Amino acid sequence: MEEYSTTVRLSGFVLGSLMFQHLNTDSDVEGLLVGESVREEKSKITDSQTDHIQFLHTINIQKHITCRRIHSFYNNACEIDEEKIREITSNFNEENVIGWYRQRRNTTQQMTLKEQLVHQNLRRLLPHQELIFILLTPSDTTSSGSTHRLEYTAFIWNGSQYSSVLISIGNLGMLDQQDYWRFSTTCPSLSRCQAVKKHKTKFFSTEDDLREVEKVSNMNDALLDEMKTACEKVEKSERLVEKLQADITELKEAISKQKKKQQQCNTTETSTPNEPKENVLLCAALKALFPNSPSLRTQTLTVQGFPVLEVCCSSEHGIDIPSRLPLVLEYEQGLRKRKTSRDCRSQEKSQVAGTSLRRKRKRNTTDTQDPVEEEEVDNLQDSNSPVF
Amino acid sequence: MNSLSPEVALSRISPELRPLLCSVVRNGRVGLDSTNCLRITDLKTGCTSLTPGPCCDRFKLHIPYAGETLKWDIIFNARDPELPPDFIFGEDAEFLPEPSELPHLVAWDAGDPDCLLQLVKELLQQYHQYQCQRLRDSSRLLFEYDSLLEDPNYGRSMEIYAGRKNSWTGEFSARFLLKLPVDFSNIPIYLLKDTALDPGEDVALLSVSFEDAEATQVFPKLFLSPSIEHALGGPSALHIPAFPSGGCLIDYVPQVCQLLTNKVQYVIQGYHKRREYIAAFLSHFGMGVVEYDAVGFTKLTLLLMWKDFCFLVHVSSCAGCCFCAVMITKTHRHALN
Repeated sequence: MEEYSTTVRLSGFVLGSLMFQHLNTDSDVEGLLVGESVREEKSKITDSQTDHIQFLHTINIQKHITCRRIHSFYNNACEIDEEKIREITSNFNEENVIGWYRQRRNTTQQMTLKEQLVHQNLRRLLPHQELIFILLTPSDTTSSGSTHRLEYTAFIWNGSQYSSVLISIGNLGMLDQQDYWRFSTTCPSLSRCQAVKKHKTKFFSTEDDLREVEKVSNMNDALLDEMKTACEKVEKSERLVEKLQADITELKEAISKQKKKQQQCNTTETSTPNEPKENVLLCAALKALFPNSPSLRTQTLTVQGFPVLEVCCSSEHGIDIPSRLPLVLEYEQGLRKRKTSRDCRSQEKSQVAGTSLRRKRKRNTTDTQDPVEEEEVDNLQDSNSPVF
Repeated sequence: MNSLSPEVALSRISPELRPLLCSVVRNGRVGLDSTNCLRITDLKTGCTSLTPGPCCDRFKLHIPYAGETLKWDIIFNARDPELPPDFIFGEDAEFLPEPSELPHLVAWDAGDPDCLLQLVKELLQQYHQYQCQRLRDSSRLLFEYDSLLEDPNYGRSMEIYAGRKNSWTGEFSARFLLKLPVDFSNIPIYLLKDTALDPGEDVALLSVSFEDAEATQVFPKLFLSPSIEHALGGPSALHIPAFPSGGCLIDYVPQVCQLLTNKVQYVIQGYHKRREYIAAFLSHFGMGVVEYDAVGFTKLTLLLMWKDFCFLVHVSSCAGCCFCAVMITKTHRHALN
């Protein structure tokens, strides 16, 4: 919901000056008005409404420029003379002209034909401002002339017709009590203006914004730039991830297709799901290195951790050791050399050690022990192979 | 409202402006209803109360228009009498004429006594255009206006006043004032000659009020200048027919016009017939005529005798007809001697 309101503020001494001017003139008077126009948008949120917006337009009249006589800046057809206007407003900024006024005695509070035409033409000449027209009509209320009355109204063009606007007269100061004044005082004194102008640059920038606000604004801009850069990076990385995921999906699809093909080709050779797969290269290497230890080629252990010889691999896999496993041959040859040299030195020691071990084992071993295992133990004494 | 006589008004006006107002109050007949002059009221001054009089330079001008009276404020400045006046158009706040259509405003000549009167006439023309524009709110009334405008007998002598649209009911009213093209020049002068009555132009105005935009409530009224009304036999002599339901002005107005014309012709013919009638009596009983109405030919008295019986014969007729009433008064021969 939107609400529009316009108010004209006129200080008491400006009104008094207008009245004084007319009292001392024996005819109607007219002139221009100088001031400032302030627009404010207030958003009011209540429990019942969250979108109540008030557009407040306040026109402060600070001064009036008197014309020496009526009809001074327009002709009989009410066409404005721009040169005369510039001459009248020579001491003021043209943007500060916010309207004009007329005072006529003993007439009604209604705009005349000429006033409407002049106002229309002034609006065309000064389009940057919403101009107002103030009409003051003093009159005698008694036949003896003892009591006089002054009526005043502000008129503003609202698009289709002229409408009257409330005029608020300030006496010696602002009548409304507020903690924060939203509007500047009407017609500030010259000395005040000079003091403010002298120290203004410390607090305000060239565009009349507070300096801190400008700094915060700059920082905000920098943060926004950084965020923008980070967003761009994230976007790039996300796109890369997306591309990689697409590649992975393609590869997976290719692999699954290949597997299906392979499965279709090898339907008779598939083993039981639970049968473990044999590492044929390892089996061939173990056979080459430890030909007398078939238990090393088993894939199944008992609960106690001993190899089960019934499932040892005894098949020839047809692996060409010199070409496929050349390091195994080198190692085997090195072992043989060390063995022959060791045999000469420790033949006696090994015989005595071997006899005591046998005796201990006979006492400790169970009935289930296989003679193959005894043989393996002996073999283990002969080699440096790890003991299971 | 203090209505002032022209002399009083002129005496209070600022001397520099007096010639302008003199022309308005003495010769100020504008519009169709020229029997009513322009009136001036509420004379005020724009000078301070310390200024010695006469210094009035602003007043209210009453202008008859379409059966209404417009009250326009005219504002001069006594200290600047060469400047053109300003106007406030009363309740018609939306009326804003173009200055280019007001040559007497643009080229205001304070030395020309008729300048203000001419300016008022130009403003009235613009006002008439403004009222015609307002008829566009009702297509029915606009049709009535357009159809009358096409007829040269009525289109040039028409005033329209469009009332305010009622914002509650949406009703829109208007009044048409038409000058009927009836020739009153042959009406016997003795019927029109009456210094007590308005000696102005003889005119017949037909006012038709539309109380609603759909023309379901239409009230016509015929206004005659006082002399014509007297000539036709008074206010009750002529009754116009009621506006027919569903009818339109282009049919009704000629009907009223014809009725009025017939009445006027009847009066004229009656006069001529009476004159001939009296002339015949005079030629036949020339020596016995005692007296007769030589202006209106409404009365004739004859003194006749038959076998020593003398009697007076009074023949009379009303001004509007040829009907003759005869009265015989018996008298004795010796009384005559």
